Amino acid sequence: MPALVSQLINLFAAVLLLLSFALLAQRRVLSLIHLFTLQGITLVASTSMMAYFTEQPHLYYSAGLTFVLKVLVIPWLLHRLLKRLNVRWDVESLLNIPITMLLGIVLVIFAFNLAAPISSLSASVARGTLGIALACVLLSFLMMITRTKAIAQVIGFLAMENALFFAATSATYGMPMVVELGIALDVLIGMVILGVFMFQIREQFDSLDIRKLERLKEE
Amino acid sequence: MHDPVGLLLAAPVLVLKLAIGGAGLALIETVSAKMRIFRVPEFLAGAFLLAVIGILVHFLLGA
Repeated sequence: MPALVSQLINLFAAVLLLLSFALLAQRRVLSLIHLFTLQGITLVASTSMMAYFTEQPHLYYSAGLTFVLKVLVIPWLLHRLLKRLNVRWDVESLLNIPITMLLGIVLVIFAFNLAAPISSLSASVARGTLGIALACVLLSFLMMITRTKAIAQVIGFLAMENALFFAATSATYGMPMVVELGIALDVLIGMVILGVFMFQIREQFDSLDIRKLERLKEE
Repeated sequence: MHDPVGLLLAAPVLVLKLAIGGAGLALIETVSAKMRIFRVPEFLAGAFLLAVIGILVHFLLGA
């Protein structure tokens, strides 16, 4: 049974990595939100699997928190934001998609190599997945760098938080409950503030394109 | 160590796994937008990506 559980956790980790790549390659904003929700669901599944296997009840709480926040509340906020901003356009990327994907592969190799010595120090069941978590963090970074629209950057930020959460559960069976609650609240508040920022940016520049902000420079 | 029952069970499970994976991939490719000629490099890059990620994850998770 332990072998099956650790295989399932590995499977969820691989799905998380694939979803990070899908976020990197996706053009439409609505699909980005759907992919983000899927990532949240995967995270909940892997966390509750870990909780079941290690018999740590606090992991159930954090799985529940993740479910409420990242599967229900934040996607709902994003959908509402999308409706009120009335965006229908495709997200444009600074680099074209094949080049972004190749860069992503390089990042994954880097992350796997970097995580290998660290994960051999850990005693957790899912220590092998630390490399995947690190790769997801770097891929979200790449997404924030290559996207020009504010909404895509916000989704990249949220995906990075997902990956960090996964890294914490895979390396050390989760952070203390207080830290997790604090981070969850921070992400929610950050989401609200970034939404307000988006309205402000659009009011000022009639567009959500971050490149327009360069006009704010002093000559 | 390899008991015969496990080996017998492994073959249909492998077939089932491949069937689910293949169906999933086909589904994703059919719903992901109309196939236009200038999107072909993206599909090729995606295929390459899936292959490389498969190998890397296989090595990382130490089969």
